[in-house]
Amino acid sequence: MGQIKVKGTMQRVAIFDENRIIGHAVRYSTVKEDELVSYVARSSHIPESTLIASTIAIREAIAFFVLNGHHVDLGKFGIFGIRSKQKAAIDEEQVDASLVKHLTVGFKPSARIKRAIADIRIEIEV
Amino acid sequence: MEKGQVNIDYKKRRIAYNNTEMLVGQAIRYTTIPYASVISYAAQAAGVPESSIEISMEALFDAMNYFVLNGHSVKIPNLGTFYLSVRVKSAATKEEFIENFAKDLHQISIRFRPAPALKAKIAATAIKTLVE
Repeated sequence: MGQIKVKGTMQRVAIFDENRIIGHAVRYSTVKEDELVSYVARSSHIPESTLIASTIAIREAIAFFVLNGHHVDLGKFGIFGIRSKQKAAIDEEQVDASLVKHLTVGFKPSARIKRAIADIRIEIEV
Repeated sequence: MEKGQVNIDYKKRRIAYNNTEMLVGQAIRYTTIPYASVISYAAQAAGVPESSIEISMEALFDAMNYFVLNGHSVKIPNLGTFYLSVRVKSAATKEEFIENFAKDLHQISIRFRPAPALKAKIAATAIKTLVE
């Protein structure tokens, strides 16, 4: 089970035009790939070289499939897919690539992760 | 890696706010590549046995979940950063925030922010529009 801290800070909220307490999840640190690989290698006895080769291969596979219009299912982790935002057109003649305003890669966590999120313990700090 | 191509399909749909019909686009999803196929593709590309990739990814995903669900963000180069985000209603006072927190907590979710290298690949992706 995870545990996070939600910190409330006073910020101006434009819609109310007043200062209000806004909550956000505290981010303790950013775990980099080498730290992640070392952690997994220590706890699982899988060689670091295999872990590094696997992460490189998987991230290349994700980029290749997603940028060619497929969704990529990573089992208990989640699904990657392409997401786009585009303007609507009045008629067929207006439709072209310039209407596409935003193209990005999205991630949808798996049901397993969503269940784990529902069980997270939250500490509040104001 | 080859340059990707994404097809945007435009279909006629009713726009509620002004009650008109317009052509609205959506990125076409060809298929959802199953986990086993991703492992198999990655194993061929890396020259690593499928079993090694599978065991490695299971262990890495468990570790990523552990870190993200405990308030850390995880940065994978050339892919992106995973982090936890909460949506909670704002409050006028500290007391109100603490008292109503359970009621006002709308969502906790894992967010993904693509890395600059992936954004560059996205920017280089060809876009083809189709009209139905």
